[in-house]
Amino acid sequence: MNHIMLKQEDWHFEGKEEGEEVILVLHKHWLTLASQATFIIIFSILPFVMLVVFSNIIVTYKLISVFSFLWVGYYLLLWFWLFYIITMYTLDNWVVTTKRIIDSVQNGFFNRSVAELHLEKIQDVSYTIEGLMATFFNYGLVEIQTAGIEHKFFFRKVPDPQKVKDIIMKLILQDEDAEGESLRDSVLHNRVRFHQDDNNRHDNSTRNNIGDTEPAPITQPETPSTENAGKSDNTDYVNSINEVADNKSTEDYKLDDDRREEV
Amino acid sequence: MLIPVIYLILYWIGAFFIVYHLTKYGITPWPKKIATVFLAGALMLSILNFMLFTQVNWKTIFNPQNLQQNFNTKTN
Repeated sequence: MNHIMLKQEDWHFEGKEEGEEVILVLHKHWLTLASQATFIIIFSILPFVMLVVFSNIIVTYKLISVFSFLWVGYYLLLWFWLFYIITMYTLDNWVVTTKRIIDSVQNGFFNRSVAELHLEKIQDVSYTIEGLMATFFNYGLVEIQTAGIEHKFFFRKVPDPQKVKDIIMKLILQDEDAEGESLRDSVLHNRVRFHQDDNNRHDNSTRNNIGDTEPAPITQPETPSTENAGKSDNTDYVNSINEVADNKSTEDYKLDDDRREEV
Repeated sequence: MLIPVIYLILYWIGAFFIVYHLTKYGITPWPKKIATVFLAGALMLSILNFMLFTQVNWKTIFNPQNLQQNFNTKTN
């Protein structure tokens, strides 16, 4: 079982949003599961020990059938215990999607808590590998710092924490790029709409003067030139808005570049 | 007689919770596979356990005289 599960297909989970994709499913390192499973292995040897110790009594009193029945019943219980541990291990996970990080904790059958953190709220991601075993088996703590007073997110005992950190950072950068593009698009969209509104207003006023009832087609705005400067107050205003919009989008991209460099 | 039956009923209630949790809250295909393996193993062990249960002579077990008789036949 791969403990860092990178996206292979469209995985589904409860509460998945539309357009959201699962990128990463994380569980604790397999050593945590192995340490618990060790007890089950030790307990599974117990019937053999009992068979050796009490073999005389079992044979003398013809208790083989009873012993076999109890043996299988005991293994049935161990089977349940083993899969209970595996279930708790499997459902105690962290899910990294294209929009958020979900921390699910399963403590017993009837105690499940889920916390989520949106990618845009993440400020910093760091990891710690501490101890001999952790260094040898490459597992550790990934810490996710959020903005404001929200609590931190900890991925405890996750395998390959550096890779996990890199994937999350990459997702954050992609998210920021997408936000930058959407901001630029909205600014450009508003600018075009303003041009169209301005042209419509200008055409309507001309129509009213002439008394023309036919609707005039919407034309592209003329490029501002020095000859037209001062002819109309609206033209000046449109030009000034265009300049502001251009400056704003450039600044936004500069900010995104700066942020990327910092990271 | 009643104790093993109650044991099996309780066992399968617990088994249902394991399968339910794995199939409902599991994200990757792995939990579904784990649930299938668990179900198959639990079913096989339960059938085996029931078969062994029917082969046990409970009268002999809970009667000390029969136990003594078994012991005597063995020693003779």
